[in-house]
Amino acid sequence: MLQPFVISCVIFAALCFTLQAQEAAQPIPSQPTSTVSVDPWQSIPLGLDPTSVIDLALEDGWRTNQIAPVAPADDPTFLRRIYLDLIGRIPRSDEANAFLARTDSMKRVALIDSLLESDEHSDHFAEVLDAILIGRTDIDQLRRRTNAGWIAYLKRAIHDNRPWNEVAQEILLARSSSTQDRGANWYLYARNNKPQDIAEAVSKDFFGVRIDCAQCHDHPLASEIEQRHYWGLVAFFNRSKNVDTPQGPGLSEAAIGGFSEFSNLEGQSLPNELVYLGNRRVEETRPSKETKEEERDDLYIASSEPASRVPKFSRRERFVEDVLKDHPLLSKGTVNRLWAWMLGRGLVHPVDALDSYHTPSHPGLLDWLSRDFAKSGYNMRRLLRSLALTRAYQLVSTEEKFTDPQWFSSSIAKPLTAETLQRSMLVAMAPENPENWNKLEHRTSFAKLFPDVLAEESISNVSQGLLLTNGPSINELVSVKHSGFLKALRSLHTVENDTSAVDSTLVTQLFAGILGRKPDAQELEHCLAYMSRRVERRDQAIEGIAWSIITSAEFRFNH
Amino acid sequence: MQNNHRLDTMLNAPCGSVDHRLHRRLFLQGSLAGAASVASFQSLFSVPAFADSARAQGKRCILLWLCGAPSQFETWDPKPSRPTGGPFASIPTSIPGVHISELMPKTASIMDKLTVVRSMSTEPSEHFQAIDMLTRGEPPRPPFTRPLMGSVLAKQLGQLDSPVPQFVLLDPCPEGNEFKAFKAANWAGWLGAEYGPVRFGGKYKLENVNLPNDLSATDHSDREALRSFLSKKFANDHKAASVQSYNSVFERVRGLMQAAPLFDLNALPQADRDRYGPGTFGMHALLARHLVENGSTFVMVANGMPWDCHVLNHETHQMLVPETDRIVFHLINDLADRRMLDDTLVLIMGEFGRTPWLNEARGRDHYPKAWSMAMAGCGLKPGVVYGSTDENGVEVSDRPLDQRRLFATIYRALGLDPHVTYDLPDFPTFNRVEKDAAPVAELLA
Repeated sequence: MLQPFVISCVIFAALCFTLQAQEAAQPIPSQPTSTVSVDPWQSIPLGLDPTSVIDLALEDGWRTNQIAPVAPADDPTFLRRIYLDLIGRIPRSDEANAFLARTDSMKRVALIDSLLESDEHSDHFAEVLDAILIGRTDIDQLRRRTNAGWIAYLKRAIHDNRPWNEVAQEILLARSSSTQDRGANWYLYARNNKPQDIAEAVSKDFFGVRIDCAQCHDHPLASEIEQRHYWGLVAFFNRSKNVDTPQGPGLSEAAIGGFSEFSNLEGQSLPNELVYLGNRRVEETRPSKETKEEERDDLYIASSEPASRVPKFSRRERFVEDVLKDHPLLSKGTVNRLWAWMLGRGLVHPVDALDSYHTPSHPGLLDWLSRDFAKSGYNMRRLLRSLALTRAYQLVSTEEKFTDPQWFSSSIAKPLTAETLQRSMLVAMAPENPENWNKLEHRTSFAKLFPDVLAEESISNVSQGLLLTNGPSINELVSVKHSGFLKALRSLHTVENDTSAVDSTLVTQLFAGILGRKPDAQELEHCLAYMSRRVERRDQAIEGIAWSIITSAEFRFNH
Repeated sequence: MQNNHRLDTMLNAPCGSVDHRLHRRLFLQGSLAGAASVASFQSLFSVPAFADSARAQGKRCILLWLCGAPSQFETWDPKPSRPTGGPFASIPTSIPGVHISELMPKTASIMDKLTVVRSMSTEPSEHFQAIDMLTRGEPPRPPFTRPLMGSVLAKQLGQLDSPVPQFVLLDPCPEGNEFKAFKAANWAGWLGAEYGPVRFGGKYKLENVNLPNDLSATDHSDREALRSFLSKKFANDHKAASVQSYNSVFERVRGLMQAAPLFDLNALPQADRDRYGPGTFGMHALLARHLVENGSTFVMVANGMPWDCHVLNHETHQMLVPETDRIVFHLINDLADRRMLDDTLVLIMGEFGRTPWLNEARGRDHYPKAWSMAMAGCGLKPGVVYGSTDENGVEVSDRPLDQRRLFATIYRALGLDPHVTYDLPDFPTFNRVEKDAAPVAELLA
């Protein structure tokens, strides 16, 4: 245990030094601002344990803003939180008991590692990535991309912890032909030959920057986002065309065409050159307007199939190689999104606003984490693990008064995604025929009403309240007839005869099974009162209480 | 279920007749004796009839939100035969000497009922920021979220325990570029989501409004009371709007189960639908009238973001303005005929105006510097045209009006103190309208 201790001492010393230097380096207002200030974060070496760096940087923010962080979370709270974040469901009681029984100091680390390596983690993150990269769709669309291998592709990428930049390159090159990887083609294919849709999606999903408004003009609030970047990104994809091959969906690419002009607000026409944010540019010979380009076989790589032949100069390939590959926003966007996933909001908020108009809450930290992430080989699992081990992640979520969430001085309650909410309900209710509740139909209809994933602010709406209250599916699930959990509780009274003791046990077990905690005295009292008014209708009493707990805010959120 | 079927039959009948309303009221009070199934509904339906409470409560507001921003030149502030004026002529109105675009002949005939501002002048020139400011009244100040005007009115003028939603957003289009992003935002802000809108239209339907099978009305409401109790401590410990909004939607479930029939477009009288239609915008304007008649406080009618005419401005306005003309005409007349105009404020506006000049695509671009909006009804002086722009519509030439004074005027017209300070512990000081911006006396009755 000596080694980690020594490492944190080194980081602590480095950070103390640099953070002080940072304060000292701030120019005094009366001085001319031309003083060259060196960013002290540059001197913190990459490859250190990110957890320690994050802890020290956040603690520095608390000190500077005179905020006291809340208390650390206890084991049951941590357990529920990490299950929901990493594998997308609440723990089963056997899993909870096993974890809570452990007394060693490494139990949280061990749990994080085992969850990250589980198949459920790859299933869960594939779902999350699908919701981010493709969005919520109807069931037919979900079936199509499942059949095309897209979901399986994402699962494997997570399972094998593939470097995220490689995955991103594969998805945007969309030239996978192997049975194993052809699912990667779906991302571009799903945009139905609309290069503007591709550009807007690629910028948001892989670089964390919304460029939609630069279609018509330079971004009015973030001057680095220019109209030529929008049309440049479009041009990288405007020679591509969806093709359906016997092996599945693919994208062909032409060797000619795709030269056009866009007009700015001043009425000037400008060429759509191959250029994107960060001054990434690909040179290409532009034919004069009078020249009519002609298709020629020698423009394509000879060996390729006619349907999906590859041009010798491929814009998609150049984009992947010269723009995407080591673009700082690729790592920064990923770090910010994974941070938001674990900690409830991004260092830049919202997560797809990595522009100069939205300043990060901890700019130096975000920058360091992004560089460190790139250096680690875009290792997502390492980053998730580091985030899960931070002090901020393991704080309680309760707070006595409102504090600005950007300082992460308490854990932010996160609404469960549609899939996570539904799966957790199934874990709690243990239906006797789980397949009846876990069909694609259920998931898409649920996701239609609970579409948010990393929303800027997730505000509930009445349709959700109506569904959870009156929806046939949920009322059937939370019934003695269908739920194995409730059925088992109903048979409690056959064991003992003291009704009030049986009722207390029953309520306690309802809380434990659904929320992972015991009821407090008041909660117990209210639930027992509810039962006492339904002595003759015990099943309905159990169902009513179970419904009240499973639709409570405490269940709806990860906290 | 038989119960629900009965409820639907009763409430889905065409509304409007006194006779029908009487029946509905009797039903809602549980006074329809004889039917045992109805008796079990008493705990659910024991509130007074909608229309009665609406009458008692008084003031309300309909916002026709012309999202994307219409051109003032093709609507309220024509500049015929000027280089900036476009191809459309201007026509006289029922106010001597006042002309508006020839695309609005019906509205021209009731101009004496309207109050028009031709001198709006605001800052934000991008949709998202402008929509945000023109619906909240202030630019953002994170992490604090100011409520929309609709939420303020729902709280101040509405009845929280009314089954009829106090703030309704009618918008058939889930999309709408920046408007889409705005719609995903926190509307009620620091007032809490109970003052946020009920969304309806397009993919937003009111589903799951019937009692679940085999659940009595008593169990339905008792288990909700238990749910609410069990959620209270969690809500106290978590201040985030997401948590608060989750609990508040359950408080509205029962009311919506009752009010759902109000949203049935097919139940609106055919003659009315013919006048307002065709098109969803007209149907929703009619529905807005129906909702405020039955107790809603604030209804916002939008239709995606169709007014953003960067391309072919004139052609697009030639399609869009006549529809708006027809809707404004019928809505104002109907409210006047029902003697509701004195208590109902109608706002007709977008988030800014459009440039005097055309771009390469013969579109007009964003122009917040000098633009127009119109109002009618409650608390306003009718037949007033306030402010003006210069001969080419480039600058405001007389009495510029920003959003703060507009909001102060609207709040005052509805009988509210524009400058009251919010009671928000742990927050900086916020007022309903900031900077003591004064209401415009010339606009107020």
